Amino acid sequence: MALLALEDLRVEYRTARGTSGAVDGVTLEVREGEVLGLVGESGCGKTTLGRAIIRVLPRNARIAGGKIVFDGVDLAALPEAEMNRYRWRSIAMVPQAAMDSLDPVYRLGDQFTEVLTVTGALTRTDARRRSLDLCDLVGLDRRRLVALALRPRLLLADEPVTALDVVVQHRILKMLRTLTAELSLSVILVTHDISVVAQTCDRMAVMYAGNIVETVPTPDVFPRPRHPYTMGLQNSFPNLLAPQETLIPIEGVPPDLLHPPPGCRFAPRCPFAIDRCLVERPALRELEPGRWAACHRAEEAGALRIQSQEAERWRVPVP
Amino acid sequence: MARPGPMTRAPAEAAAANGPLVAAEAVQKYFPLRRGLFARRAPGEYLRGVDGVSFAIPRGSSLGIAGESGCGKTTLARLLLRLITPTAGRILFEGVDLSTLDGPALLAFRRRAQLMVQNPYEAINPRFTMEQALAEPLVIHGIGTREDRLDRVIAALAQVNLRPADAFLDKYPHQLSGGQLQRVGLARALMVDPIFLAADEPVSMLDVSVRAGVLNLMKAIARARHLTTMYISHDLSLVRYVCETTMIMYLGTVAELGPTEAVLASPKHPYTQLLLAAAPVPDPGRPLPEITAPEQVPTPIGPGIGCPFQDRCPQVMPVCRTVPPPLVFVGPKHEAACHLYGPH
Repeated sequence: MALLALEDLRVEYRTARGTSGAVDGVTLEVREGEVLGLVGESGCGKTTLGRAIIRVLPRNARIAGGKIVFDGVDLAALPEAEMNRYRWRSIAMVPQAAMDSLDPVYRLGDQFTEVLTVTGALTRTDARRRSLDLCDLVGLDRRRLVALALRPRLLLADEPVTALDVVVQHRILKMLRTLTAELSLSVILVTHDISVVAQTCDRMAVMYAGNIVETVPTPDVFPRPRHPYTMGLQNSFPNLLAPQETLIPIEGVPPDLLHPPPGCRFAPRCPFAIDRCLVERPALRELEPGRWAACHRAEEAGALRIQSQEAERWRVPVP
Repeated sequence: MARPGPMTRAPAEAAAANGPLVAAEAVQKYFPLRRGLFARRAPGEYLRGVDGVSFAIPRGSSLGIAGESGCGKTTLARLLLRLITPTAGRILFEGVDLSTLDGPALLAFRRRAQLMVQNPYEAINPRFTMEQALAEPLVIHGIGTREDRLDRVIAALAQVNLRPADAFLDKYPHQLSGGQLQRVGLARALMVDPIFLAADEPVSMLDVSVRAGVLNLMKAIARARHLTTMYISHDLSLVRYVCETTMIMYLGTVAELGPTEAVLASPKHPYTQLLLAAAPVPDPGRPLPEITAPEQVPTPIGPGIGCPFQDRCPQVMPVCRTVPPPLVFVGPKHEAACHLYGPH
C-alpha cells in the first residue's frame, strides 16, 4: 500500500524569461517502510519535487497540476492552514545543507524541544524525553535528527550525505536504515550518487529534466537498466570494485526547461533516439510488474544495453 | 649529448634528468593558532596541517592523494606549488629546493607547475571572456604576440573538445555549463605548457554524466604531453580510475602509499581498510557493511603522541599510544605507516 502517491505532479517556476516546468508530470509511489532513492543531476527537479511534497516551494514556484496523495489525502488541494498539520508531524525534511537546518546559537536539546512543543504535540518534559530517546537510538549524529523529532511517517532527505566524508556518510546511511526499520519510516532519499542508492534504497527512481524516466527495484536496475539515460549514468560512474574499464560520459547538456524539446527530453543526448522520440513524449509505462520506464524503445532495452557499452555510440553531435 | 658540464653542476643535472619530478622530504606545515582577538600566540599551540610527509612523483606518472577533509591534502598541494612554504622539510622540483627559488627562477617554476581547482566558477574571472581568460597566462609570462595568442587560445579550446572553438571565444563563464567551464580550467592550466599539473577535486562539483568526460580528457592530455599529475580527491573510485600511485593521508601524515591497485585491492593500513569499507559501491548485492571503528573526531591540534589513527583504530596496540609508526614496506613499492607491519 502506498503511503504517498504522486499523480501527474507539475511544478512551475515563473522567471523573467518565462515559465519553467521544473517538475513536469511526475507519477511516483512511496510505500510504507521503504527507502526510495531519487536520482538525477543538478537541475533535474529532484529537490523541487521534494519541496513540493511538503509545499515549501520558493515564492516564484507553484504546483501547477496533479495530486500529492498522502495517506489518502490530496495535499495539493489542502488549504495552507491544514497543510501545517502534516509538516513535521507526518512528513519531515532534512534539507540539503544540514548545518543550515539547525540554528548555530541554540543548543541542540532546545532545538529539539522547540519542534516538539511549538507544534503543540508534546509538553516540554515529554519533548525532552523524546529527544533523548532519539539520540540514544542513533548515536552521535544528532544534528540531523530534528527532522525525526515528531516521529513522522515520511522523511524527505535531500542529499543528506553529499559532501560528507565516507566514514560519516556510511554511519548516516546505516542510521537511516535502522530508523526505517524501527520507526517504520518511509524515506525519499534524494541523491546524485547511484552507489549510495545501490546499498541503501529498496527502489530507485531516475529523474531527468523534470520527468521520471525509470522506476525499478534497486537490485534490478543495476544489471538491467531500461532507460538509455540510466544506462548512460552507469557507464559514466567510476566503480571502486571494478577494474579500470573506460568510463563513457553522456555528451551534451540537459535541455533548457524554459524551452524543452517537444518529444523526449533526453532525445538530444540519446544515442538511440529515433524520429518518434523527437516529436512524441514517451509516457512512463509499466513494462513488467513494478518496473517502469519512459522510453519508446523500452521493449528493446536488452539490445540497447549491449550497444550502450560502446563508447562510440555516445558521441552524439552536440548542437 | 653535450660534453659533461663543470663538476659542480653534474650531480644536480643528473638528479634533474633521472630523478622524480617532485620530491617531498619530511615536509611539515604547522599553522599557529591564536587564542582570542588580541591574544599572543600561545607557544606550542599549532594545527598540524602536514606533519612529516615524504614521497616522490616520478616523471610522467600520476599520484592520487585521498583522505578525509582536513587530512592535509589541499595544504600539501599548496606546498608543492609553493603557494605556501613549509615549516620544516624540503620540496624538490626537478631536484631544486622550491624554497630557494626567487625572481626569474620562481616565475619559470610558476609556468612549469599548474593548479586546477575544484570550482571552475571561482577559478575564472566572471568578467573575462574565454579568450581573455585563456590569454591571461600568456600575457603574464610574456608568451607570443597578440595574433599568436589568439591562435593558441583557439587550439587550447579545441584540445579540450570545446568545438567549434570560435563559438566559445566571446562567452563568459556564466554562459557555460560546469563541465564546459572545467574544461576551460584545464585548458587554462595547459596554456603555458606546464610539466606538472596538480588537480584539487577537479570533478567533484560536476554532474556525474560529465565527470567521465573531464577525467578522460585529463588522462588523455597527460599521456600525450607526458605530464606529471597529482589528483586530490576524497573519492577513491576516481583515484582508482586515474592514478597509478595512491597515497592515503590521515591527520597530515601518510598512512599508506603504493601502486593504486595494491593499495585499493589489498589495503594494509587499518585506516585505508576503513575508508574502503565505508565507500559506497554500485552493487545492490552488497549491503552496507558493519563498521566497528570507534566514532572519534580526530584533532590536528596538540602534541600528537603516537599513531595519529590510534583513537579510531580497531586494532590499536600499546605501542601505538606512544610511538608514531614509520612507513614500512608491506609489498612491492607499497608502504604503510602501521605498527602491525613492523619494524620488527
